[in-house]
Amino acid sequence: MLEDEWLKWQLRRGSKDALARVYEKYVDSMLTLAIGLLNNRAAAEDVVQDVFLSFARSARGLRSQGALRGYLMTGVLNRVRDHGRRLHRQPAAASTPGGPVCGAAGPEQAAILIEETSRLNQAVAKLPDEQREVVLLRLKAGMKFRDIARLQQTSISTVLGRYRYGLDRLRSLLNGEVER
Amino acid sequence: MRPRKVVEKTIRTKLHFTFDPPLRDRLLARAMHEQEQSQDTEPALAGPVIRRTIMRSPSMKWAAAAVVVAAVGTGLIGIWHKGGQAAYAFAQTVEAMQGKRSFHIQTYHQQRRHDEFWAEFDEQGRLLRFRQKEGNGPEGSLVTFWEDGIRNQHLSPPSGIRLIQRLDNTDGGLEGLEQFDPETIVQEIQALVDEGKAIMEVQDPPPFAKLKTIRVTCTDGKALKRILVVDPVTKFVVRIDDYWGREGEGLTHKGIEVLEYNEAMDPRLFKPDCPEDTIVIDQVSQEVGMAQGQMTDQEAAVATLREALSALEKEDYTSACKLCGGVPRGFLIEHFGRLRPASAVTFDSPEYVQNVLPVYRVKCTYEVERDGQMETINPVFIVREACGQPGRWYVTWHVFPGEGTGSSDED
Repeated sequence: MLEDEWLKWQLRRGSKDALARVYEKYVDSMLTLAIGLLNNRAAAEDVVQDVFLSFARSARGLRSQGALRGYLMTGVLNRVRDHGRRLHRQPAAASTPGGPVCGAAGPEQAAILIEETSRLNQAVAKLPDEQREVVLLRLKAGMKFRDIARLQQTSISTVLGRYRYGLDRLRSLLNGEVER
Repeated sequence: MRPRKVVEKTIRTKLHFTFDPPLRDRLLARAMHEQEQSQDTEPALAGPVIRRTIMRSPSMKWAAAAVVVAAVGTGLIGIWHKGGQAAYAFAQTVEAMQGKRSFHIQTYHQQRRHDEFWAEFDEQGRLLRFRQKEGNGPEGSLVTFWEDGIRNQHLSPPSGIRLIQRLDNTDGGLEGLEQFDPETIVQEIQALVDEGKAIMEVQDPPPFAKLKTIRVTCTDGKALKRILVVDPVTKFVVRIDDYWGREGEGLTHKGIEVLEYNEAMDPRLFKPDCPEDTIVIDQVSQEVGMAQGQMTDQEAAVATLREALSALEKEDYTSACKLCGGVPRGFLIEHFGRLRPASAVTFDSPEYVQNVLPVYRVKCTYEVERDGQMETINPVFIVREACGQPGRWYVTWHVFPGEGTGSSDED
């Protein structure tokens, strides 16, 4: 949090190092959120590019009081919603996101991780839009329920309900694999 | 672990995508270019500021002042009519308890004080550090500190021991903390009510009192009643009491009192401060015990104890200290010296003790020499897997002289 405040202060002064640090810190989380919401890697990469380039353009006038993470993730969500109006989310089985995943030590482990991540993403893809948003914003963007409630323009009880139903549905979709 | 928590953990830790390196570099380069361009096109002068416009004209000043007075007056009248009392809904408490950064909790068991917790979290609600104080009787207290994957447990005198171990929170060792987390508890209550598994009754405070009482009764067959006390001003939950059992059959009580929520905490609270004569058992900077290898847990427990007693018999204190969890030599001689075998040792089948990591009680029989006489003893040792050193087993310092049924309190 303190680092974010420092980064915002630096960004207002046009620091490239600060921009690079924000990029390094959040770009993968932004991509994970976008892929989770869209289930389409190419579209998700476009969304993240749009959001981050727009962020870079406006960084000097940044007035956000909250955490940078929340600011960027909200940007991703809004852009995904715009995108969604034009192109509805891909069916779960139609597009499996590929590309590298974190934490793979070798090719074999990378393959396992890709498969595991893909399977998780397919399960997330089957959630209704509102539930998927809540689950991803909470677990991948680290947002508070009250902030998600504001974003979804609904009550915190509704958001908590969506979160619970989302997790329960994910559990049944993953068919006990998560309990290993 | 509860199922929803398992799903949460899986999504948090396993669902993760990254950019291809070339695309990653290209995007950063473009972002830097955009940042640079935006600076070049930054307007030289800021636009007119409203405050400056108002203060420039005397008539605008008076008009602005009138608007402020009217707004304040309207607000005050609104508050007067409502009597300052907005209708309370439990969702307000759920919302108020969001975004935990710290808490200080006193727990109760059967109406008596039990443990005290202090915990701090990061902005995503992940535990940063915690302190737990248990017990305060003649046997002293156990204070546990955890930060950066290291757990310090300080058993106050008469034990006077400090045990340092590596403990990764993701392994579940600290997840028990959640059952005392007021944010999680109020969310669970809201979930029960939403799912029709409990009914909630909000009681207004009696005259001159200010706290609201909320009674939650389970309707799904569980004999649980929860009573929450909420501050209607801050909406924070102040106290939660759980009563298990049927009326007239004797109730089991567990409670928590929220002493502080999201208050800044003194960093010294989370730093172990032990007396100088404390015996330090450091299992972080040294490897302890012996490797399990291909042995089963039971076999490892017996083999470790056999090795430890053998080292003790040969007065090989370096090996014995390592096999006994890295205890200092003086402590080993003081505690285990009188248990040094003087004959062959026979071992009973190890008895499993329920714990986070495997723990076994191993009873054995052998002779020791006391005052020139041979004496047969059958002590019970506690042998366990080392915390933070997977696959390594050691003998704890807890030894029961005969048929005792105590258990390890290292956890």
